[in-house]
Amino acid sequence: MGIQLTACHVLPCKTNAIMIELTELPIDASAVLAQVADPECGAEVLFVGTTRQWTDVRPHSEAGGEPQAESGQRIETSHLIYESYREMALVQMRRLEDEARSRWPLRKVVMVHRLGHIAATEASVAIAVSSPHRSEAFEAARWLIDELKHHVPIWKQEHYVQHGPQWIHPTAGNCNCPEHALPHSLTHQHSHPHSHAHPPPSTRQLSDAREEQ
Amino acid sequence: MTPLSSPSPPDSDWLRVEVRLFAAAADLAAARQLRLHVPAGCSLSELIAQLLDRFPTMKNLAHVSRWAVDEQFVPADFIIDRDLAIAMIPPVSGG
Repeated sequence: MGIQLTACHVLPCKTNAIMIELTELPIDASAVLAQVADPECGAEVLFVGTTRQWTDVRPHSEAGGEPQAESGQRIETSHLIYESYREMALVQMRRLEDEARSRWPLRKVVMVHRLGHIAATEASVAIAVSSPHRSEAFEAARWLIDELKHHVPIWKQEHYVQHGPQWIHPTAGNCNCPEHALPHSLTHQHSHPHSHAHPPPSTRQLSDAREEQ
Repeated sequence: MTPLSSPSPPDSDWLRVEVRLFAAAADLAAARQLRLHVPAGCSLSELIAQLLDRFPTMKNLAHVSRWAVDEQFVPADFIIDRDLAIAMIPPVSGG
């Protein structure tokens, strides 16, 4: 498709608009949505994931999850630090876009993930897609965020108000993603295919799709 | 059996591997990049074993991590046949 890495952290699309991006700057969700406008599309879906200030303690928190606290208690996050393996994250996001385009008749796809210091309640990720009809747009946006959360090398470190900072490396619980279509080249075998979890949901959707949790 | 660690400068039968570390792995090793010397033709599993000999505190995280070469995930039986960079990819938490 003639798409090449022309800068250290962005991949341009054919129209030179930045469609896949890692940025330290705040995410402008309106601008992301505007980028997927297309005269052949009757549907645009925008997903925005935000950093959650308050998290309910889950009964089976393990290493890599929330700090120890009594079930039912809420943990307050002051901010998060996101880091990535930037080159690989861009390659993997691009691969997700290609696969999404092979599955659904998408016209435009935009994926933006923010890195660095992000205050609680701010947007950490935005994904927007456009397609002629709504069902494909909903499905593709959902699939893209699920796959991003499983396969794109980005990590968040939670900074809690009442605990020390902690890297989030989810390893237990149930996975709500619809499938793991991508090959896992693991150094170990999962006990079952969905044995690794999403991090706690830190998302808000601006579309009328329902959040997975 | 040839020991995997190589305190002396490697000869032509040894390869130089840069291991990139992220997130908790970087904290545990107190480094974002390590250099290991491994015998040519060794597997990723053997390299991981050498890494864990040096950084035993990384064991739990290493066992749930994936590994990548040239921005692509690679399996544990990946054979190291050239000088290269390998990234340890702990369970990701973007989004």
